[in-house]
Amino acid sequence: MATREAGKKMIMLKSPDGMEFEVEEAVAMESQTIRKMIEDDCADTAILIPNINSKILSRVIEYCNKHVPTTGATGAAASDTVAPAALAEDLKIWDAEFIKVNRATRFDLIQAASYLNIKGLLDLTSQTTIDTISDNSLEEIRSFLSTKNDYLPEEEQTIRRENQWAFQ
Amino acid sequence: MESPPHKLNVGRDEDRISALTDDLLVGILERLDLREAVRASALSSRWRHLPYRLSRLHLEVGHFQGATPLEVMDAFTGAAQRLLSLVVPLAEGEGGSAAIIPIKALILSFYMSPPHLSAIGRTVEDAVSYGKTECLEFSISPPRGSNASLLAEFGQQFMSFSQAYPVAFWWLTRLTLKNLVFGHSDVTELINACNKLKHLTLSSCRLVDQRSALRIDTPCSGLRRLDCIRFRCERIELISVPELRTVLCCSRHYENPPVRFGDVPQLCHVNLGYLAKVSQAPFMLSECLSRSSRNLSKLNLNFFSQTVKLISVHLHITRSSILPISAVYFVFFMLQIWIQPEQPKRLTAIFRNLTDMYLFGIFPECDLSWTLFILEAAPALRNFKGSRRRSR
Repeated sequence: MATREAGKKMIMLKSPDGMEFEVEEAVAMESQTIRKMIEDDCADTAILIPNINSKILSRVIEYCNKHVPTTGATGAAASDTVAPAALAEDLKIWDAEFIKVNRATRFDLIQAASYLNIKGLLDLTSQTTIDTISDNSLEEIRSFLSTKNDYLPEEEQTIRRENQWAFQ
Repeated sequence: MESPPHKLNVGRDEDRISALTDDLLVGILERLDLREAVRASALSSRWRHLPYRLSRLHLEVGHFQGATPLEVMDAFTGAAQRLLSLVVPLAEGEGGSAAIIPIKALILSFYMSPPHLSAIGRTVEDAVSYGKTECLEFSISPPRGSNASLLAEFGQQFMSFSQAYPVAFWWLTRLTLKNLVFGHSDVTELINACNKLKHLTLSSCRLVDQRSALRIDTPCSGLRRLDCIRFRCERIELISVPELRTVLCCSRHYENPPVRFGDVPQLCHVNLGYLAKVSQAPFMLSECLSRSSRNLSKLNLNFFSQTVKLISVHLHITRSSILPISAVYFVFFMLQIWIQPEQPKRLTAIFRNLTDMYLFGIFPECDLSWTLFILEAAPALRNFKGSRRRSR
């Protein structure tokens, strides 16, 4: 829903590839980085978000739109009628759909979430990587992350020996 | 504000994760079990130093192996020293040659092993000396299978450890001690030495003289929670613990009353459970709780009801007799409820903010009328539960 409502302050976010996104200030302020810019009065009407391309930025805005606390006129009605637990469950389902992206997009989203300082999005995007690392063998992790083992065999042996307790 | 991320121009199947910044990768590793995070250093050279940049560490002695407790503690101490070495080389391209990683959270669970305590104490003091540590927790117990006769010695060694590393103990936010034996004023001294201590758990510990009271008199402490689980002593006297919010005391036996609450103005949650013998005169709650506790909101009492409990069986064996057993003695302890109903108005000042009252393991003879004095004394009571079963 991109309808502009009266009385809501809008802000323009610009990606380096020239796309512009008009969003509610409250939505943009889901990002602590943007919040700080706005609070410090560093933001005019448009904020350039460096190094986050329009494709990723639009996904980030989609996430923030969904996660912004519902305090507006329409939002109040929503939170009054829906129980918080149901709302949380709905968000969880939405998040699970949202994160069904390819690996490259996910890592781009991790970077964007980190730069824009959006904790919820960083947690969500990191979780798949965390799940991959836990309970899998080194070989499986390497293959999943496409990480090449660039150690000499003796180097890897040294690391295993130094941290024997973690490999037992 | 962090610097903008590097622009990446790599394909889908290339190693995108390794291109993330150290901070992001460390952030991911910090959410893993420490063993998994350390194992990740073997993935590739990109990951090698990342576990040494973790600012949140939880080292658990149970994760270490060795033929003897000494060997286990050798491995534990070595790992702690390596992971807390603080100064780590930076990856190429980050400028400079080394960075100091301030430790934000450090949880160490280890055995009382005198040969290793000085290394642990020094390492922890170095780690907290940057003043960024928000959470420092120790959980300390004697090595498994330690001889019971050594527990008092371990208790003394622990106290010496706390005195030898005052900076480490000053930063401690949570402390759990198991199976240690303490002298009279040890616990008070310990709490006084731990300036930031919020939560103290004493599990299966005791006083050297079990027929004396554990007295805690710490008017300057910020302790908020005290758990005494199977702490063997006559009773616990909380003379002054001004910030204390939550108290849990459960054991087989205490004298009546099991706890004497003194100056504990912030107290809001009390959980008491023990067995009382018939020879113990029941006490009134107003004798035990403090009038200084104006915020008491939750009270759990666990009576472990069993009207008769078989404590032991003695067999007398006589060699001369044809029947080898000459006498069998069953010793029964008559157990009883340890609270005595009293005039509600004696309790109204203490119970004015009580919202939750749970009575577990109550006796069949304690019917509803028995509980009336509580209901009358607590105008704000919202939840009241009486159960024949003991709580977990």
